[in-house]
Amino acid sequence: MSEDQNNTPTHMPPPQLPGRAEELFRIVFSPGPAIVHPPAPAVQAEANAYQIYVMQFAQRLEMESRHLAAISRDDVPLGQKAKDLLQVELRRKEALAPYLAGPAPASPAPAQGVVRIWQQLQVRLHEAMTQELEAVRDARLRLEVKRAELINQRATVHARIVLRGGAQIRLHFGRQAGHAAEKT
Amino acid sequence: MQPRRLEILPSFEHSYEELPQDVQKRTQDVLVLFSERTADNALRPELKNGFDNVWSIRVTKGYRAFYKKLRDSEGAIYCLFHVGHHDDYRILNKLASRVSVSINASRGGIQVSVQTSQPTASQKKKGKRRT
Repeated sequence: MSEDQNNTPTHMPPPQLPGRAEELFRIVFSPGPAIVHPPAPAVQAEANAYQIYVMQFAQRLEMESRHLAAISRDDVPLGQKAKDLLQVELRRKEALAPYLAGPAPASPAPAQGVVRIWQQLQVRLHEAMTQELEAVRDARLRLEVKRAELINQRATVHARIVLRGGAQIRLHFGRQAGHAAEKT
Repeated sequence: MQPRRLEILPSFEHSYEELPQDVQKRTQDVLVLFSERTADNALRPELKNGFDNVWSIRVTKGYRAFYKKLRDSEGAIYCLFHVGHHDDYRILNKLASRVSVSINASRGGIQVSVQTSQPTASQKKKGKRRT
């Protein structure tokens, strides 16, 4: 979300994705022969840095989206910001997809020793990735809810629909149309 | 059982018009199913955490319709206000987590075996609130 000098609730710099996050994911989700050793301290440190980043990112995004939703009086810029967030979400979803879709054990109990440590690390990163994506999605939804409120304040309801007994419905959402639905 | 009463709000129309045609068609079908209460297991009505009385139903894997549940003198009325992109990343995560990985790194070689399991009833219900 872009920062507006006048409207932003804080002037703190936005959290930065750790530069080696991608490399971290590759190491943790495809450890290969390294599986016989515990993750290196540097890997654990990178994982911690990513978790901290996600926590700060989620807090920041929630705060900014709440603030923006509270002060906005025009649905058009809100819609544009929601679209911007959607692009961010899709980009991050694509980047994280290989790691989210892969196997991550929910219950590392069967594993022992070193393998268990790797699995726990995978679970921890999975959780952080999910939180990162959800933070963007929920910020966007917050803007979309507010945008809907603003649109509905200045427009009248076109259709109140009650379907009974196998009726079918086709929706027509033309701007100039006097109706929004017809039953068949 | 009485059908649900739906109200299509103007903001829903705005977002509907921006959908791809196939998703528009699916949205129409979903509204009928939602009104008729015939496919709630598939539509998965779900209260959105962190929002005030905002519910979603599943249109496709990556799209949801959103509504607020209000009441008038005739009972509940479902005011649909938005339809658009919305992924359930935690569900994705749970699906992945049902794959159990066993790694055997003994004798210098690495063997990986994968077992999948069906979700239990409690896993399916967890985190869901139904209308």
